Amino acid sequence: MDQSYRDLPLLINQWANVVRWEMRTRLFLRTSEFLWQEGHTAHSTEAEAIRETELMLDVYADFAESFMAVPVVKGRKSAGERFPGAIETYCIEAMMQDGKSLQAGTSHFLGQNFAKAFEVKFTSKEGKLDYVWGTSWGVSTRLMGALIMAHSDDEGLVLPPKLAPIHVVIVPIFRNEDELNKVTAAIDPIIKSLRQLGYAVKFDNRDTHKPGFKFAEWELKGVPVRLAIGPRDLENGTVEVARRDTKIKETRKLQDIAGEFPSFWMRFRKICSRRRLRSGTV
Amino acid sequence: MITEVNSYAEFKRVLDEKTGFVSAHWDGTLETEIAIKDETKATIRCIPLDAKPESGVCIIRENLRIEGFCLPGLTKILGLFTLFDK
Repeated sequence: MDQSYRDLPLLINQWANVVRWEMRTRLFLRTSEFLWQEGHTAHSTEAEAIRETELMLDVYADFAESFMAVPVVKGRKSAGERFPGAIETYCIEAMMQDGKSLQAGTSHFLGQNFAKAFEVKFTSKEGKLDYVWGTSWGVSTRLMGALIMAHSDDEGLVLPPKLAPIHVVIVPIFRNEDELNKVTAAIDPIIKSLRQLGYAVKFDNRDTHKPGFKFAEWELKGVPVRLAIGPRDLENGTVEVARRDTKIKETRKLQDIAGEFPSFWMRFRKICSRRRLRSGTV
Repeated sequence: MITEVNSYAEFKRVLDEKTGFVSAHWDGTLETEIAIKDETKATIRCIPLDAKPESGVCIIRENLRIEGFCLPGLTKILGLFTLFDK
């Protein structure tokens, strides 16, 4: 396939399921079938291809740190661990709670090696035929394994706010329908203002399960913040706040609670990075 | 998260007691990578991009002085499934 330099760069990105024969599988980390995102690009110059390789490494590192709250080390692989055929393999390595490293994403500068193997040429500005400069990069559902291993504990998932499908779960404490109605009336404006602020709120008013069961269930699912409110709170104008990351429970003023969420998030991020550091130095 | 070491004894002690990343000088050869892996199960994860070139002595071949080589990060191995392996 010969193309002109005007057609370059060629930037292809796709999501695909991959099936591999694995001797020993490991949940999320090395499964026989997994979903990944892979990119393959072709450039007219070496410098541009290297820039692309580095750009994608930064995209992956930023996603891991800003969205997953998982700090990573950016680096180059040694010759022994380089992707076969690549000139340079860049990677992000994440430290898990057990003190072991997990490769969370890779970005390869392929030089002209693959272009030569597959005869991928283009016509340069000077009118000469030349091989394209390639890159390829990818992340997979392994990132979910990284997320779980980096943050979770024996009670279940601990999800960072930016990835949590539910930010806050509200569990009403009640003995009868009358009490539930009163709690609902008091919490309703809070739910509305939280939603207006962009938070995903779940109001768990099921009467089929006791509060303790609900607490454990939402902890298992990693919801970052839980609010519990009962008749006594209504009298005092308070609410119980339980954070999933620190497991700290506090009683706060109901009317102020929506405004406090940004500080919960800030602290979550700090605690994530501190916990990560601690796990590496214990 | 990253502990810097200057000898193989220190290197092995960190792996036993603290784990996490260990930053050490290394001669850059595959033989040394394999020797370290065989003895300690630690693998070279990467040569950090922000590592400043620094002179030092390879922790295995102590008579081999390395001039201006980067500090590779090493740690215990975990699932060597790489995204683009064969």
